[in-house]
Amino acid sequence: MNPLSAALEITTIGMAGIFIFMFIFYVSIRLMNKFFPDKSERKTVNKEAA
Amino acid sequence: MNIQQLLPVLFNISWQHLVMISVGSILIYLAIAKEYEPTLLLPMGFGAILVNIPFTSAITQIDPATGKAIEGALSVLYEAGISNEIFPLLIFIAIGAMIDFSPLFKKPFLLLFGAAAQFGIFFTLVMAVLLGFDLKEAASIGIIGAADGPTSIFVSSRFAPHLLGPISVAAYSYMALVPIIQPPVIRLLTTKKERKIRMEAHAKTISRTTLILFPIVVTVIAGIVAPSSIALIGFLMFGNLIRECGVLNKLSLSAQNELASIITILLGISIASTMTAERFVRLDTLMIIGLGLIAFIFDTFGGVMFAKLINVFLPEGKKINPMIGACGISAFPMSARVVHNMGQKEDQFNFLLMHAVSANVGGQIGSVVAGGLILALIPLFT
Repeated sequence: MNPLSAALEITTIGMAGIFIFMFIFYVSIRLMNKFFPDKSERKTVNKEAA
Repeated sequence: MNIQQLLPVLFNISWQHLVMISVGSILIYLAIAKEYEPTLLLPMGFGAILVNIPFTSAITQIDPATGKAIEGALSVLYEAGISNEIFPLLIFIAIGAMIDFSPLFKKPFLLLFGAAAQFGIFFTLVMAVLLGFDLKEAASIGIIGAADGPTSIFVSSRFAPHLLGPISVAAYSYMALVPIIQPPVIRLLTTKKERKIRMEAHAKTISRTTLILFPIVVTVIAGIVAPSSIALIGFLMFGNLIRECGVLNKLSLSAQNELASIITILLGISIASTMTAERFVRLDTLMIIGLGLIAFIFDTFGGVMFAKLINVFLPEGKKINPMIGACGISAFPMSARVVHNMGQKEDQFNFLLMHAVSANVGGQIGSVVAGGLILALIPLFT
C-alpha cells in the first residue's frame, strides 16, 4: 500500500475511532450520572418533593 | 603544546553547533522572559547548549584514542527514561492527578469536541507523508496536534526517536502559543453573531462514586478496544484515581508536585540529548516546526467546524457557541481561557468559561485516546 493511501486510511479509522471512544465515554458518564447521582443533590430533591 | 591542543573546542566548533547553542539560548529566553512552558523549555534549552559544545561529556562520545564509548550522563538518562518510555508514563500519573474531570461530567456531550479537535493530528499526518516523511515519522509529527507534550514524546520516542528533539520543541512551543494561534483561526471560521451565542450553565454536583469509577471504566474500555494504548491511558487514569479516591491525598499531592517536578526536569534535559547539531540542524526540523503549526490550526478548525455542524441540527436557543469547539484540544486551561476571553470581548455578559473548561478537559482525554489509536494503527500499516 502506498504511504498516502495508508495515511488517508489511518486518518479515516483514527477519526472514527476517537469519536467512537468518546461516544462510549459519553454514554458511560451519562449512565454513571444516572445510577450514582450525588447524594446531597438527591436529598435536596427529596426534601423539595416532600 | 600549541593553542589548538589546549583549547580543542574553539577549533572544532562548527556553525551548526553555534546555531544549536543559539536555539538553546532562545528556548531559555522564551522560558524566562515570555514564560512559554518554562518547566520544559528551560531544561531543554540548557540541555541543547550542553550537548552542542564539541567533545561534551554530557552525551556519550567515542574516545578517538581507544575507540571505546565514554558514557555521558544525558545519554544514560535518555536510555533509562525516554527510550523505554518510563519518563512520559510517569508524567502521565502526575497529569492524571492534576486533572479534575468533574466539569466534563456536568456537560458530557462536550466530550465529543475532544474528538473533533484532534483532526489536526491526522491532517498533519497526511501532509507529512506528502512531504516525504515515512508513516512512523509522519505519525510522530502529526501527534504534535495532540497539543499534549507527554503524548507527543511517548509516540515519537516509539516511532521516530531521531525526531524527538524537534517534535518536543514544536509541541511545547505551540502549546504556549495557543493564545496567539487560536484567536485568528476562530475569528476566520465564525461570524460575530456566532461568537455572541450564550450557553446555559448547569450547576450540577457529581457523586464521588462516579468520579472514582470513571478512570477505571475508561481504562477497561481503552484496554478492550486498543490494548496497545493501555499504558498511555492507564497511567493517566491511575493518577486520576489516586486524586479522586479520597484516601490517598498525600500520594495525590506528591504526584501533582514532587513527581511532576522531578520527572519534568529529567524529561526536559534528557530530550535535549537528542538535540545535537547533526540531528537538529536539518531541513526536516524546519518542516516539523511548520507542520506543528498546521496541526494546531487544523485542530482548531476541526473543533469549530464540528460545533457549527452540530448547530445545524439544534433549535434556536439551544445552539452551541462554535468557539467552544476550539477548546477540544489538550492545552489546558489556556484554550478555555482564550475562548472565554474572546466571548467576553463580543459580549461582556457571556460567560463561556465552564463550557470551555468542559470541552478542554474532553480534549485532554481526546489527545491521549488519539495517541493510543496512533500507537495501535501505525504498526498495522508498516
